[in-house]
Amino acid sequence: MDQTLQFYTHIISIISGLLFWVGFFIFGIIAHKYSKVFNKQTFYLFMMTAPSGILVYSLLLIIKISINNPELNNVIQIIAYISFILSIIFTLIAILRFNFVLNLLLHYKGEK
Amino acid sequence: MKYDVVLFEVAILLLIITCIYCGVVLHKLTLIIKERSFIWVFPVLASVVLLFALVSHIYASFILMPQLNDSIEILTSKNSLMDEKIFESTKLVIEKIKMILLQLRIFSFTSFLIAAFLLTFSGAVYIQKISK
Repeated sequence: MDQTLQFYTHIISIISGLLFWVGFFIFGIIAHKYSKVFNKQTFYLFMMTAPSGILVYSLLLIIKISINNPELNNVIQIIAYISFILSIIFTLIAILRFNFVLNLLLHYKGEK
Repeated sequence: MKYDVVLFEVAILLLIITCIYCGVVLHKLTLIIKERSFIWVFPVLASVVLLFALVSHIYASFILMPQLNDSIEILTSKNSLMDEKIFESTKLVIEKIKMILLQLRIFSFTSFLIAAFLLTFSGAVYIQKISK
């Protein structure tokens, strides 16, 4: 029972990590489209690459399940969490930058 | 205190802030294409769901886990081993805490999945709107 639940939570976190990565990557694609249309720098490449740490987090969890070594598992888990945090920080910075660009666009539209 | 627990909670907190900003960005993007749409609500909802997950995780790691450790200490103490009543009641308490911990764990991870789905869904809907 305990092992089944542990497995369930791991699978859920891997799927969630992948979904979050896809979600943030889509925001990067949106920024890319806006940079083309408005000819403004939206930092879309940074937006697309910043969430890769979430992908690393999911991959490390998969490795953790397959290795199943208690000593190594702790190290893998901490590395996974650190890459997850770093990735979220970079994603937040990218989203804030895009938000700033959108503010400028809206301000410009308002003036028009 | 376990560092991995704190790391995970900080990550979730940052994820909540990022989801809120994704909602703000989506709101501005819908203003730009001049279309009345409430898709910006989904990332905000995702952040609310994540907040519930964070609260349950904090409750589990900072309230229930110390209680569990205390109960295990009582169970393995001399008094408990000598007295059958204390032993049985402590065993029951441990089982109860373990069950709550499992439920909270499932809730926390399921919330994580729901939040991820909401965020991805909102972005996908917007991209479909502008691709028309």
